[in-house]
Amino acid sequence: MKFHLIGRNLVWFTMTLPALIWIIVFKYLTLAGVWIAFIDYKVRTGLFASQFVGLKNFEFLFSTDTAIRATRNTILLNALFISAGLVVSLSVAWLLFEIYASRFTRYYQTLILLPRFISWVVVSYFVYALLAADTGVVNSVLKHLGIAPISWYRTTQPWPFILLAVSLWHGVGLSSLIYLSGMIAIDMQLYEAARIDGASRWQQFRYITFPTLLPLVIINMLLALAYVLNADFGLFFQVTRDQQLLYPVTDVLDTYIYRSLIVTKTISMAGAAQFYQSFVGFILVIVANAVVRRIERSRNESLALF
Amino acid sequence: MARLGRRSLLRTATQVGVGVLAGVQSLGTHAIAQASSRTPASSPVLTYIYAGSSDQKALPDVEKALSGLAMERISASVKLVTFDWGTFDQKISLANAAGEKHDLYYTAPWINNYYTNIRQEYLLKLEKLLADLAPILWGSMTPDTWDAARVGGSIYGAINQQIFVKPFGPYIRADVAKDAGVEDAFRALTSYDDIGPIMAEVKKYIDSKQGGFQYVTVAANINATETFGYDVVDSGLVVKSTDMAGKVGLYSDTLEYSRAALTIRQWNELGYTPSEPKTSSEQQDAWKAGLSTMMMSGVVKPGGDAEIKGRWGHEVISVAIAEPLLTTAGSTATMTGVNSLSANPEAAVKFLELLNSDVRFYNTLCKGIEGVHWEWDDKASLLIRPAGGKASYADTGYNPNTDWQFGNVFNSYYTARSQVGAWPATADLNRNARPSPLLGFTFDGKSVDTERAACAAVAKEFGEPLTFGIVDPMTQIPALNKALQAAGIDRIRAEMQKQIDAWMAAKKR
Repeated sequence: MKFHLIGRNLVWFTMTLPALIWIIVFKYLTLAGVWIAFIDYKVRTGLFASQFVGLKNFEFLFSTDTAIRATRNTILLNALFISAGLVVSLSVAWLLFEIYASRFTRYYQTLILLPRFISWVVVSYFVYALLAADTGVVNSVLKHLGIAPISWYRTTQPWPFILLAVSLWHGVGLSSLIYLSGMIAIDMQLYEAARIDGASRWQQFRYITFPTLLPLVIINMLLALAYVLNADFGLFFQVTRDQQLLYPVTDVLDTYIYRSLIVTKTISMAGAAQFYQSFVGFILVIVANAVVRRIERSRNESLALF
Repeated sequence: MARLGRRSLLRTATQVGVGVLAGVQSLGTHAIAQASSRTPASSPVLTYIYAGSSDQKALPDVEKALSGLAMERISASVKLVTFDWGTFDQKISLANAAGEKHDLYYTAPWINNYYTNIRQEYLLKLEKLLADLAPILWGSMTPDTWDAARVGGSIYGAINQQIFVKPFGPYIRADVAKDAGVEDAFRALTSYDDIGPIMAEVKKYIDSKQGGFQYVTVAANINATETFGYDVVDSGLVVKSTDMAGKVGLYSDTLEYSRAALTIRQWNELGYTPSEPKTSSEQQDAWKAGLSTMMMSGVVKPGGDAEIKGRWGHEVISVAIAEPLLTTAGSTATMTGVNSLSANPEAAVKFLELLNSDVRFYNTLCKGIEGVHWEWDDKASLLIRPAGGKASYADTGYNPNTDWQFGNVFNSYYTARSQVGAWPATADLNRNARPSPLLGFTFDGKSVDTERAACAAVAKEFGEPLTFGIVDPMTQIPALNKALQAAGIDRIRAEMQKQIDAWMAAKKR
């Protein structure tokens, strides 16, 4: 068997021990907490003595149009964010890769990564400075151009795109870095050979870069699917300034859950909401992974997550 | 992007983590409890957690002084723990959930929710302990008032004697009222509808000033139901203050609500309120920075103007336009509870008695140490001033400025000349107020939690824009009520009516 491998690498295995223990304690032992979603949880009564209530805690997630709308918004906005995020971060990574020899590259990298470290609360004030009705930059420009100013925080239509732009600005730095590191790992001889054969830049991307990065892209997609029912609370709550008139397009599950439960403060209902989000993500990942495996078999290469 | 939802993941992890840790800890706490019960409990240390600003430099000195006094009287010492207002709710919930053994903490229907704490069994039943060990505190309020804190037959919190009624009304900055020439008209206000013309004058004044002030008012409030003679129970369901039968209605379905919403809509169209709603912290900042001239709904109470000046730095005039109504929520607005895990519940209740009956002890917590933080200005009228010629109480290093959070405010020393006499006047207000037909009734919403959660989401979405006057009430109030209906408001109403009817029948017997 492979036990001799363990003996030979004992030092390395020992080094993974702290992380392993961490994962077991905080990721697996805590799974018992899922039970909270099905009981009327009282902290001091404990997980196993609290009364079982079945699926009652889940009802508020499906009982009203508002809840359904929140679910729809979450899925659609995530689909938009995931697909646009993929295209933009791949493009940005490619651009960086093309100028990788330049000594400015690392400054560009740092610059596009920086927004990542700005908290959503601060971002919300950036956006407000741009979009405020009377003092905002955008409306001032519009006025100068002789266009009627827009009351941004009361107009729903532009918001999916405003949120997309903010989300990309905030997140593309990191995701493009992942793709860039993948590109750097590609053997440069492939490109040299392609160039000798007369391949254009686009053809180089299409036939060398993209296929090599495909496993990475698929892994990222699969991981993103796990969170398809989760929305970044900071983005949707802070950046929209929680403006009720925008809810038809900006109210997502996380903000709906927050708004509902801030009144009743039922731990079990919060647990149910989180369980629902995670469970759907789990199923999606399993299904998507199975699909990828099937493709993989037909193409004879390794793409799937597990 | 793959990072969507990391924060919420963290939240789950925390929630679940807390659950597991609490479970683990409860195994451990038995051992600790057993260990501590063996040590002589002759002089326990009582940990008291409350909300405040944590920059009270002199807190250790005050804690020491209080411990000295408490040691003399009840053979216990005191440990004071301040959580910032902004994080109080979360921190105290976590401390309770984790099974920490603190003894006393602040609880109310509006922060660190009293009813949630009872449901989670975080609070000790107090009625017997209070009657036995805190006779002065127990006797200082009528049985009716104590009934307001009763849930399922038991009392879980010691009510702080203070203003129980909420005579809501508008505030105006005194300098603006004078300069705009509306002072007399403002003082003569009797209803919401009369405010508009005054706002028009103020608006004219602001516009003529060119800068400085930005808004007539940053927010209007139509959800202060007492202003319109309603006692709100839960989820926007109300009972009219004159309806002794206690028939439950939907507040947003009343004529008063529609009229108020239309008035505010008009204010917004005339430019009295901001075109985009401000968050509550922005509202406070605008008021503090002197950008706004009026506040629409504050509790107008004796000595309140001095409290406002202490907090915001502006001299104000306030006028009550609501009839004082004595409600359950008003009576229980500030309470101190005893942790159900407290190792020394008897000592904790004795501490409550001391805090509510010993004037010196109470004022040491509220104002600090005599001669160090404050000194007598006029002892005959119980008026104090900052010690050592300091300009304000904040400069002395101790100024929690929340007497009402700690105990019987009628024992509090006056901090400004204009405040003198406020406590007897407050007691009169409480005594002469009309009791709500539901005074003493508390709603148990557990069986309709799903509907309450759904209605809360709807109420916020439709209600807030109406409150700010940025939508047309003629279409949006029907939309609100329709959405509430879809979210199950009628089931909450039925449950509430059932409980009220049972409560009234039991009361008659």
